Amino acid sequence: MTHSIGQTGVSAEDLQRYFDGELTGAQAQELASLVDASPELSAEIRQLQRMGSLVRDTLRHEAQSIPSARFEQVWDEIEHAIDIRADEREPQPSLWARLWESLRPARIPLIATLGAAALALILVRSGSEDPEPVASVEPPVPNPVAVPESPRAPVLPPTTAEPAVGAEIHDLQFGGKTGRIARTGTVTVLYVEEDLEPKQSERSL
Amino acid sequence: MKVRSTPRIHVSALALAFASAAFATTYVAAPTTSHAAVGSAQCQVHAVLASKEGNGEIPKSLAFLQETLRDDQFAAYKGFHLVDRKTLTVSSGEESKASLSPGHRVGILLLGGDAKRLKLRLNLSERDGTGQLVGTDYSIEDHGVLLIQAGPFKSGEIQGKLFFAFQCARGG
Repeated sequence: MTHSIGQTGVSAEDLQRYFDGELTGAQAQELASLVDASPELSAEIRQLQRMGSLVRDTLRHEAQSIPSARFEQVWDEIEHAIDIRADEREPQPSLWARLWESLRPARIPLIATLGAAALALILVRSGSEDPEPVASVEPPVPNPVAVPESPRAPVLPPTTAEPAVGAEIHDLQFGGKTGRIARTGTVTVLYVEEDLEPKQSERSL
Repeated sequence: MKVRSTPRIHVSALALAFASAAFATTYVAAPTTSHAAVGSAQCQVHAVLASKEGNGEIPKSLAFLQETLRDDQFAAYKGFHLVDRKTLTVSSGEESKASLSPGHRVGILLLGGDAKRLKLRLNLSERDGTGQLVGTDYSIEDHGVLLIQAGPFKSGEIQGKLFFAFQCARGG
């Protein structure tokens, strides 16, 4: 059962909904104009506003009377509850972690053994770097072939591949002049002094 | 205590297996690879004119040097032009030779190599083809590039420095 406020024809329920912002656009506009036109409705709205501010002030006052330590205590309890749930869901360590843990007693001897093996490998490999007498590897080619440039000249397999390591210079002579070696990254460049006048190339560029 | 005793046996077995594998690699596999024979190699020699004028583009004929020529050492050069190119089949025993259009003569001898690297002797003559400009023994991975910067050079209207790029790969 709804009862109208005075002679306005507006129920208290609709006015409350208007005050709370629950009415749709057209309804809200219509009620707004009624409120503007009716001193009774305006008085009701002011009454609702006063009650609202009174309630908020009361709650704020009560909240201020609670010490902040109590809020921290509540928050601590929440965090503690979150931690407990996280611990309950914590996954088992991975297979590798468990394997590594199980290797704990043998870690040092194992690492030492592998280190010794790696060192021996390096020593053996570096000792075999000296090339064998090349003549014994392959019979000498009687006539060295100088391939003239031509469109059909043999092409090296993928030439776009850059070397992983630059050239290692074992011996170097500069023919009576000076020079130097420069290496950055994979690039090795021999810079040679060549005191000649620029010479015209016979080839077009 | 009960938990630790069983893994300890496994750990010992595992360590023994690792050690065996490592020593097997050292004493069995290493000698096999280090004695890989290299019978011959193919080498390409490019004579390149690097000039300070240009837009920095590297022509397709020098695409294999792209990364090299982008190095800081060549930052001063903005133009690269192929002057000459020769392909040599090099082997052990006797030096393979070629003449390049700027006048230099190049000789390359295969000294040997292992599974990854070639060892080569390179001789580059002076521009008149007589005296030695530079001679070097070096080792390098297959397709690795050794660059030599010679003196100033002019081709047509373009002036700059002359570079030689040596790139070798086994086989051929």
